[in-house]
Amino acid sequence: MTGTPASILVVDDDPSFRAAMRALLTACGYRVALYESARQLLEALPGNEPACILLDVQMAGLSGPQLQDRLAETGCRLPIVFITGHGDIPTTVQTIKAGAEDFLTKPVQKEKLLAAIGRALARQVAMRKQDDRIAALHTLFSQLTSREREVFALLVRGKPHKQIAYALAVSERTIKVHRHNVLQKFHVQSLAELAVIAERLGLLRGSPAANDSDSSGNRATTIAPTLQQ
Amino acid sequence: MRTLPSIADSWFLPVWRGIVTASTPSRSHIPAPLVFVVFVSVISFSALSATDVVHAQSGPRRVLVLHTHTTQVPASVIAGESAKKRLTERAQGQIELYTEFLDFERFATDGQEARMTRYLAERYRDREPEVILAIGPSSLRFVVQNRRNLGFEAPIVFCLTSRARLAAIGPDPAVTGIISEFDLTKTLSLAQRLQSDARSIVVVSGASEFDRQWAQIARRQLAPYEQTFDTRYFEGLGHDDLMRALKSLSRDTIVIMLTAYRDGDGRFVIPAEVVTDVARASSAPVYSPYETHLGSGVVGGHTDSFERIGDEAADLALSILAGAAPSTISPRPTSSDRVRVDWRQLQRWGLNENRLPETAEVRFRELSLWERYRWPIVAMIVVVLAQAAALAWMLFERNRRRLAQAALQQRLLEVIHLNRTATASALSASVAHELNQPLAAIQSYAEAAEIYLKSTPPNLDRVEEILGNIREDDKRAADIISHFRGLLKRSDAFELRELDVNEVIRTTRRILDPEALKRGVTLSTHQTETSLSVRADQVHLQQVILNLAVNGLDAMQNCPAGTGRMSIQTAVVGEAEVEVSIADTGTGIPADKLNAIFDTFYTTKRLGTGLGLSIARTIVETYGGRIWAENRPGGGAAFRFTLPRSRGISA
Repeated sequence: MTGTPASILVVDDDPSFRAAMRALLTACGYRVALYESARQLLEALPGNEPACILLDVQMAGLSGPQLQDRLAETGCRLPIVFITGHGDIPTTVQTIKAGAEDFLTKPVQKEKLLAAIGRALARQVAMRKQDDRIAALHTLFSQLTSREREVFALLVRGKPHKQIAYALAVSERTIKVHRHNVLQKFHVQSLAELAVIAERLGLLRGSPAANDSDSSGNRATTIAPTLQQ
Repeated sequence: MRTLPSIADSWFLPVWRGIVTASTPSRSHIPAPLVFVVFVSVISFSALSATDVVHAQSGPRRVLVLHTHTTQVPASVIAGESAKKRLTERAQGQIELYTEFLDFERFATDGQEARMTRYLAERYRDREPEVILAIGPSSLRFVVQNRRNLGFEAPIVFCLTSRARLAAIGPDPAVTGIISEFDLTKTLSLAQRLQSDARSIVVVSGASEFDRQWAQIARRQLAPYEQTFDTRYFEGLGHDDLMRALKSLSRDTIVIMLTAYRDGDGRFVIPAEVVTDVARASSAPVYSPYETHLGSGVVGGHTDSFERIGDEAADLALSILAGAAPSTISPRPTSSDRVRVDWRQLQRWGLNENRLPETAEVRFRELSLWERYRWPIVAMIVVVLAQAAALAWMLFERNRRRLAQAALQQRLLEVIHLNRTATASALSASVAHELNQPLAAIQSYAEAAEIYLKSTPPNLDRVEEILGNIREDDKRAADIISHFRGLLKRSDAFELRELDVNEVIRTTRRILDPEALKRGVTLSTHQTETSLSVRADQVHLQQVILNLAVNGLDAMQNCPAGTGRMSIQTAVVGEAEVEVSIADTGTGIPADKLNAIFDTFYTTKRLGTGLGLSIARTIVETYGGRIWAENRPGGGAAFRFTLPRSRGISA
């Protein structure tokens, strides 16, 4: 939330509520974009910037939950805060399960609204950082030679040097050199750290050694904070 | 033998008698046994038997009717004609009638009687009468006195002769007849009964000798009353003088009219005409002792019936012809004397009919309307009463019906109101949602304003702008409430106001739109560009549209979300009607239920009351319109209703 203020995308078919949201959120320092229908939002989805959708449930044409589904299909990961005149339990449960940040009822208290928006934006930031890190690892991975990638793939699956040398029909010493180079290129010291990176990159998924993917997943989550340093 | 016998004389004054006693009626040509049989028959049987006996005689029987006067004396003529008629009828033509008039009054010269005697003797030598009917005293006296010279042996039957005159002639076995008594006091007594307040008597009579005779008799008979009454005699006055005198009479006078064959001016006059004039001119009731005067304007009097007297005399003659001896039949008074009055004159003078003696004969009675048309009147009254009763009953029923209708309308309005309340209640969730929008906006605006006020420096421009927005949203909230309250408003009558149907639809949409939105139904309206004027109550018209629309929304309950469509259209049909159609894309209506759906309590919904459409129809029909439903070719139903287009506002 530093630098350029986050955008709040208000989707509501009621003009006066939209106008009131603009007044309030602008006063709170957000940039505000108003959409009178779900379709209008879909036609003008903003770029990759900090933003949050304030979405009405009941609208003519596409309803809020329908828009939520449509956005998920298109891969848009903008956080959504639902805000409705009368929220019923089934709709609430459905939208939250589908990933909505919050479900508010009109008229909404400023504090509640801002808190929900804040949480949504924070999560977006977190998600974005993680995305950045994975992107960096992908960049590092792309710098590996093809032989190093082969060694990397076998190493993170826990294959001993001997086996790797045999599999690649090279000497054990050569394997050690490749291993050293891989560790250096990923800026890590241990094989364990390398395994976490492999997990992040999704290299372990669907592999022949899928039997230990659960444990590696667990490890990944525990290790994640160290990676964020 | 008297010379110059006047007719009047001959009736009442003693007459010479002599020969009469000597003569006896001859019946020599009639066989005695037959006479006996006939006599018994007469006594035992009716007049018809007598007739038979008359027939039994060979050849027609001769009867001579001998009049004292000529035709100018009505009494004489009437009695004679009546007797002749009676004789002819009873004898069935087996009688030869001869009539002679002595008329000695006008031919009052010496030897007149002797000449007449010779003449008659000569005339009837070969056809001697078997009975002589002597009408009037002079003719009786004449026949009795001259019987021998006349050569008449026949029995004599007299009439119009007083007992005194008969006595003067003396007893005669061949003479019998009907005695007439002239008694003016009886007529006066009648007048007294009718005019109890009478003070004076006026007796009117003519100037002829005959008239003067009568006046003289009257004076004699009325003498005893002169002490009680102021009695005057208008005797032989000139016509004009008489009329003047009569006109000046006071109402409490009794006027008695006698005969008048000649007036004081010396003119011969017709008594009936004089009587008419007298009765017309008199300012007091006029009485008369003569039956013939009755009907000419007199009130009445104690009179004989000359017709009856003639009949009575004829019957005596028949008896004698049948063989009865005149000596066995003593002269008897006529049974025809009684009080006879003219009903019209009683009315004219205001005389009380109840004061008449019981035996009085009232003539010329004009039947009252009631007496004349009794049954038609009764029928008419019955009909009128029946009609009145029917009218009263219908009025009563009409009043009852009006009250019932008023009560019914009240109930109906209540039901309509209840239905509206129910509709409002069903729509309340949507309305609450609708109301929530501006309220939510207002809250957010207020919070935004707070932020701007707290900032340093406070951004008052923004605050002002926001306050403006708050006002707008507040107004919007108030509008929503006001529309909703319109739906709950009570309408106490089917008021007729000029309304624009298009405008009503726009207003109704304010309530309907949130509901349609909530149900995911797309609502559209297609209205005519011009306003459509009708005369109705806005609340009721709105209710019809809402009922039909909500019904349509309910029909689309099972449509996939967002696919339901509802269209409200207005149109002008044939210039005179406005048509509103509300079409949906719902389930439609089974073809056989297109009419039944408007029936009260007909419903297909689990929670429906079955009132919505029924009430819509009631309202539409109350305002003179029609309502019906149809299925749309593409699925769904369309409800249409019409209302008469008002001419108040032209399109």
